Amino acid sequence: MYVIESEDLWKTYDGRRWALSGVDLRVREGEVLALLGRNGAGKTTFIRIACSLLKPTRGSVRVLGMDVTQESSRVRERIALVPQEGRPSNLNTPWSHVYYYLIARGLPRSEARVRARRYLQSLELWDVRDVICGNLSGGMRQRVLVAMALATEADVLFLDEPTIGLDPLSKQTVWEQIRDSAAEGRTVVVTTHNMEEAETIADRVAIIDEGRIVASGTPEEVKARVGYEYRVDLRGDGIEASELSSYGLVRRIGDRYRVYLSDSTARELLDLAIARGWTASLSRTTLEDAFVLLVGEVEEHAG
Amino acid sequence: MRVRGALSGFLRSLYASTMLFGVLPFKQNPFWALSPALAPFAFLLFLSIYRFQQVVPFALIGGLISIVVANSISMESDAAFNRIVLRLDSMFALTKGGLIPYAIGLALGNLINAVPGVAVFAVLLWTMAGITSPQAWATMLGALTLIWAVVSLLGYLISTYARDIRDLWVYSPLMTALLGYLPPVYYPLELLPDPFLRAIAFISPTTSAARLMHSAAGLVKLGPGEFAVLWAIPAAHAVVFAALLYRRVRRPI
Repeated sequence: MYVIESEDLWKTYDGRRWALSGVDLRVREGEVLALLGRNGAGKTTFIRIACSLLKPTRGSVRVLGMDVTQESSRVRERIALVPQEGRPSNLNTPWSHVYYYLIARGLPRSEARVRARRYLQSLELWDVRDVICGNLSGGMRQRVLVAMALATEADVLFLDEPTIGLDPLSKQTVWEQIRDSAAEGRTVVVTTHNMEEAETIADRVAIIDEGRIVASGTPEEVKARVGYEYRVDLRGDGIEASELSSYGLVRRIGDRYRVYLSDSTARELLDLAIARGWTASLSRTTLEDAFVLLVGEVEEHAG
Repeated sequence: MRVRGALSGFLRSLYASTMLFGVLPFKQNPFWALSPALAPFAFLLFLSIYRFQQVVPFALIGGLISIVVANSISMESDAAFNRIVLRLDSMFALTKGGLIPYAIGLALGNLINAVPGVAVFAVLLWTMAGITSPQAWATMLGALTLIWAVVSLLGYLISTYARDIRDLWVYSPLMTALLGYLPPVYYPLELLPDPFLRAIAFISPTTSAARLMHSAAGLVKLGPGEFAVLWAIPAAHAVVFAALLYRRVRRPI
């Protein structure tokens, strides 16, 4: 069963440019979907429409079988959101944010207390639960918002860049909680620029660019779509892009060249690098590579 | 059963919003209550020093209104701050009752800041002006509640137009002056020389509320039927602001 279904979704804010251009997206129950895209690609617009906070210009989104435009009140009871660049109030503590937010969501006090404790502990905020947020680090403040949303235990969680600004350890803590939520059957849509995050936590990813979904599937499927299994990074004297292009797709990054290629040609290129005395490193194509190639492809076509 | 559940959810949300945006921040910084009460207190001090004893009751009633206006209009910056900077309004839109209990909670939170100043001026009105009748106090309380509701609605409405929190830095003092000091709040309506000016004064909802309070304190005499009209004017303001606000927030963009 699909928990989120968007069909031919279009959105314009000013009547001239499209923030979303016919987005079709489906998310299954208990799945973590990472929505990837550059700044202004349309990720937040999609999230806000799916949360019934924004009206689509055309098309529809159904969440848990309900149309978000027609049945917004019923949808809102069953979803939770971490807004992009959101912050807790500096004058309140992590405890008061989570506890009172749960009360506002309709939970009885006893249950709100239990859940506030559980989620503050799991997001490593329990020791600072009574410190006002103004005296916490930026990462801790960010985790307060994540705790507020996760503690609702809503059926669908929309997390708009929930780990932005977090240190690696804090990120892992949040990732763990997101995976735990999915393991308990909740559906999670998370937007991010961090490809490692997407690969780590997402069952499926969707790459959005200029309001269009340019690729979607499991991270492996999306990587496979670019058609290159490996990449070789080369640095040295006398490297010619024209020579490398016979091996695969060449991209220049600063003073080095990156060549995307298949299994068979990788070995040949490495042999050449050794013969010429270049520094070479071989690695598997990452989701970030796929993202750069797919989004770049769209740009080239547009150009 | 369904109505009861919805009401209970609404009240929980209202309670949570009041605590988060009113009671708890006030505990962190009680001095917030001081600043809106200072200007009315200065007025009162000048009048007392110059021995204008006959206008002291006007200064006290004006002070009560100014304090409530100054605290209520800060709804505009609070709501805009939560929307633009903290983005918490998006999270509260997904609570029981949505943004309505959240907004009322914000307004109640601002009222909490007004309570100390109002209490001081009320005691002074009781002791210095000898206003002790329960009926007079009921009218005053009703008028102040209406001012709180109308000005909070106006504040929230203004906040929805703000693109940056700095847009609003100029409006709060301006609106406080326009609603809390310039209209016949510290003086009787009759002192305005021109009938046209007297009519214009009713654009501000505080004019009607102040006149009700002046009358309750025995400072002015109302004409026949005026009592009901004076309640109806700010109530109409509230209805208009609420309708405009509903149009703005029911479905953004």
